[in-house]
Parts: sequence; structure tokens; C-alpha cells
Amino acid sequence: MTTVLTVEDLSIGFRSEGKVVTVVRGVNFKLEAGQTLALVGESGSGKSVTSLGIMGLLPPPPQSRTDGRIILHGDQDTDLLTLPEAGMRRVRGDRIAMIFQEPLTSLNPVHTVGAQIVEAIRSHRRMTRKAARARAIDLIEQVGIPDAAARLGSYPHELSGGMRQRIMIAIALALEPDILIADEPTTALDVTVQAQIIDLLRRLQADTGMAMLFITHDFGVVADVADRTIVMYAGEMVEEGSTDTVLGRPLMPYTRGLMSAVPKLQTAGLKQGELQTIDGFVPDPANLPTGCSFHPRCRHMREGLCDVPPVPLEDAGDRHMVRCKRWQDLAEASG
Amino acid sequence: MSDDTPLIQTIDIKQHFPLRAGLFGRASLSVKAVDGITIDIPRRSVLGLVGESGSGKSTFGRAVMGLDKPTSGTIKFDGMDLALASKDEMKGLRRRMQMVFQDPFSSLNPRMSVNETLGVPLRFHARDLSRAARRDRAAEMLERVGLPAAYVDRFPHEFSGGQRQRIGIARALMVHPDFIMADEVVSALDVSVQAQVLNLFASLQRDMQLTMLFITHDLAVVGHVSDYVAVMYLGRIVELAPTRDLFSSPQHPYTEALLSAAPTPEMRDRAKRIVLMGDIPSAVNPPSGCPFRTRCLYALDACAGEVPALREVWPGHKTACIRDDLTLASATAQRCTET
Repeated sequence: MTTVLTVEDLSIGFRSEGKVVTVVRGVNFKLEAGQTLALVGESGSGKSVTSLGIMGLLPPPPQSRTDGRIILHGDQDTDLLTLPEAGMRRVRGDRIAMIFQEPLTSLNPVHTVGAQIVEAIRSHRRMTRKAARARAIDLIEQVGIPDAAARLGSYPHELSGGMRQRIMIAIALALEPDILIADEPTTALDVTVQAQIIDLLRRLQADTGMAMLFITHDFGVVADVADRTIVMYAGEMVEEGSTDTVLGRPLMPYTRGLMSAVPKLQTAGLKQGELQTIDGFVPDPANLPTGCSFHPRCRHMREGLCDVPPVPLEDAGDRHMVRCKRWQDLAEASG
Repeated sequence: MSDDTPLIQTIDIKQHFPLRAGLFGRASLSVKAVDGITIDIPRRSVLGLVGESGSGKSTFGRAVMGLDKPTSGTIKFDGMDLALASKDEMKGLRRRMQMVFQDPFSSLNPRMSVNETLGVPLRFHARDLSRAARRDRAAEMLERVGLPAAYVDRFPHEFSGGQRQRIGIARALMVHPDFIMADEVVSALDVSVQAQVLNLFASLQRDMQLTMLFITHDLAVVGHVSDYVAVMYLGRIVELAPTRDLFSSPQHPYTEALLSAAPTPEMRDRAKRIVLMGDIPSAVNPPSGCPFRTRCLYALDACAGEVPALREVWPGHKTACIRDDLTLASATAQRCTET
């Protein structure tokens, strides 16, 4: 497998009332060509900030502060965090592209979708208008929009949500990036359209061999798209592994709690009683609990153990990482 | 009214919104948002109404609540026709039917304390209550929805999304309604908070013997809370069944496709998934015959003919599909449990 991006010890903080509040702490992962890595978590987990950090889209210092390394591999390795803005602009779109949740706000309402695709191509490649137009038609066909030539003249408001997301994907793929970052790309879409878009992304990935970083709050979507999964909580990775392992045999109590809080189709109509819930709230990043950030909400918390730092990410075998001091006895207890 | 009369009955509800062409143009086209819905909600039961955007589920909900007068059709609450109710009768009915909204951020007035927000319904429906009595009721209701009574003097910005949704629920319950319409009430919430709010709905419904219309796009949520489920597509009900029955033996191809597309973390065979082509058609100019036929995997020429009526497959289970020769995949057939 070819590693296309390595994130090492990434920490991101924002300045708030004179102090720096760290919202992403010590994140490590690799993106492999042709593979999809999901970052999953609830609001405030730091998953979107991580992706914005990779794209260099955070407010400049001193409003934000980023530490660690984000290495983009290629003919030569580049640390994106040390790259000046001009260099970053060449990386964005060309090597790493991004799609967002709401395509209507990402597309410019006063330009046709054709003009927007052509602009994306011509801002990075020397290409005649005519050639760029032909490429745009190709791309629109690739993302499964019928009657591509005619669609070039459409404005974003004339398209459905699913069609707009397809156009966003066409723009993202225009320069054949090595990495596609997808931040909740199907959250605003209906389930049948969501299934279409996920299918499309998987097909395009198979064709192009790009790596995908898929950010979502939805374990169902994770099950559909991801090869590997990272669960985030309060700015930290709390579990990582192959998607089958993380969803099928989760070790971190937070992951387990989330999984059992989701209503299941299998048990629909059984009135099986209460859904399991996780008590309390996500902690304030300016005021994190000591030790495991999840311990105040965890039903397996042991005083004197879980509230004592450090709580390292431990290897449970087979590249299954878990940040929990009790994972071994909990795994034994549940068989 | 006798106890076995359904609390809510709707007969052939249509809600068409005219489209005007040009400044002086006459309305010739219309959006057929709801196009003939006949359904009962039995007392103390929860009807889940599921559909994608544009299916007309929220428009139908508003008509049931008497917020929009339907283009045609009859809505009866406890046997009383809403269209024939006098102003006084309507006021009485409004107390008995309340609603909870999707967005807990925009549905609470940011300048009103919880006490004031919860007191508003009482100002109309329990006018003789003193200020202190209103406040007591507000505090009591807050505790009932799982928030400390001391929060009555707080303002919306001091609460998280889940807490705000609890306040929205408390507001609906202040006047002891018989019927609650809940429109996408957990869609804006994180998974762990969603579970808390769903549990709260279930316990309130049971304890207060509420009748509910629960509108959502999320099949798994609907499966968890409902006694019956109606699936809507392009302004019509395409399938109606007791919840367990709908999930274990869907009879309409659209339901099958929804069950297949719904993302759940249960392990499954990706290859078996049904992915529908295209988008939901325009409600201005719906397809002839079956509204779903343009995306249906099993469509025949005959599907373009008449609009299929809801037919009973077996007692309680109705589908609006003319094909009776299909064996459709259940929610469980498409997924295997990880054990």
C-alpha cells in the first residue's frame, strides 16, 4: 500500500479570551492510496477541525495554533504545516480536494456549474477554455449526471441536492487529486440519494485510486464507506482499527455506548424498551477532565485509575488501538 | 366519543399549492404536496410517518394540526370535523393537540426565560391560573422531561440542543394534550442525545397515554417509537402496516429500497444493497399511474395506468402496489448480525 498522507501528533488550538483552547490533541494517522479512512464522532469531537487543519483552512495564527506534522508524500515529502500559503494553494484542489455537507453553500449561485468546473481546472492547469469545457463534460458524465453538455449551463439552484453534491464531486475530482476529504457529504441528503452518492464515491475511488478521508457522525455511513475507522472524542482519537473490528468488536466504552444508542432496523417494532444512552455531556475543551476525557460519563469508570493521566492509546492487537485503561478486563467481562 | 373511535381520522386529504405563472398569470399548475391521504390514528398509539424530502409528510402534519386548511378532504379529531368546528370549539381542540418542532434553536424565543416560554400555552388555555401556579407547573414539567426544576429562570442560550428539545417537549405538554405531532424532533441531535430524547418520548407517551404522529425521514427511529408506520412518497401513502410487520415483510418496492438504503452500523453485504436511480419526481407534474414507477425496479407497463389504491395484503397491512407477485427483502434479510 502507498501512503499518501501522514498526520503526526497533530494538535490544533484556538485563541479564546486570551488563552489557547486546544480542540484537537495528538492525532496520528496515515491515508493509504485507494483506501477510505473514516473519522467519526459527535459534535465537538474535533473531526472537522482536523480536516480543515489538513487543508490549511484554519484562521491564521495567532487566532489558531497548529502543532505536529502533516506530511504529503509524493516525489518528495512536504510538511503542509510549514508550507507557505502560495504553496498550499497549489496543493489544495490539485493534490487534496474537499467536499462539504451543504453543496448549495459551497457552489457560487451566480455562475453556471460549467463555469465553476472550468475555473477549477484552469486555475491549476494550462488548458484552453475549449479543452477545459470538454473535460468538464467528461467529469459531469463521470459523476452520473445525464445529458452532461446541457447541464454545463445550469445554475446551482436549478439542480436537486443530490445533483449539486455530484457537481461538487466533479469539481473536486477535476484535477485528479490523490486525496479527497469528504466532510459529512451525505448528511443533508435523503437516504436514497445518500446511497447513490456513497456508491458514486466508492466507484470513483476504485477508478482513480485516490485516498479518502471521510468525516461523519453516522456509524451507518461508516459501515458503508470506510476501510479503517477512527473514533474521536473531545479532540482525541479514542479507538482506531479496521471498520469491521471497530463496529463489530468495539473496545472503548464510548464507542460501545454510541453503537448501542443507535436504533436498529433489526429490532424495529419490537418495542424493546429503552435505548442505551450516554449520560452527561461532551466536556468543555477549555476544561477537560483529568485522565481519560470520557471518564465522568463512563459506566465502567474506576476511581484512581481512569482519572489519572496519562491514558495512552494502546494496541489491542491487529492494529486495533484503544484509549481505555480498562479495555482488557472489559473485553474479558463481555466475552 | 367512544374509546374505539380513532383519535385522528383523515379522509382523502389533499393539499395543493397553486403555482402562479408570471405577474398576472392564472394559477393553472399546482404542487400536489399531499394527494389523497386517508388514515386513522388509534387512541394512545404512535403513528410513524416516514418519507424523504418532498414526500409531503410535513405538509400532511400541518393539515392534521389544523395549521393549514387542506384543499379538500376531512380531518376529524375525536370525531369532530375540524372544518365544521366553531371558534370556541377549535380553541378547545387546540389545547388537546400540540406539537414539537425539529430545530430546538429556532423554536424557542431567545428572550424568554424557560418559565415564560412554558407559561405561554397556559395564558391561553388555563387563564385562571395565578402567576405562581403557572411557575409551579413549569417547574414540575421541567422535572418530568428530565431537567432540574431550578432551570425555570434560565434562558435558551444556556442550554445544549438536547436540553432545548426537552424544553420544547415540556412546552407541548404544559396543557395536558391528548395528541402530539412531532416533526423530525431528533434529526438535529447527536446520536447519544437522540437516544435520550427518544427514550423520553417513549416514557411520556406511555405515562401520559398520548396519541402521537411522529414524522421523520429516519426509518430506524420510526421503527423504535411507532406502533404503526406509514411510508409516504410524492404526496401519497404507499404502504401502511404495524411496525414489526412493515420491517419484516415490506410489501411496497419503495419501502424495500428505503430499508436497504438506510445506513445502520449492522454488518451487511454491500453488494445486496438496492440503490434507486434518480431523484424524487416533481410534485407539480407527477408520473401517471404509480408515482414511484419511474424509479421502481419492478415496474411494469401497467404501472403507468391507474394510480394504485392502497389494498390490504392481510389484515392491517396495506400497500399501494399493483404487483402481488413480489417477494421483497425485509430489513433483516439485508443485514446479518455480527455475533
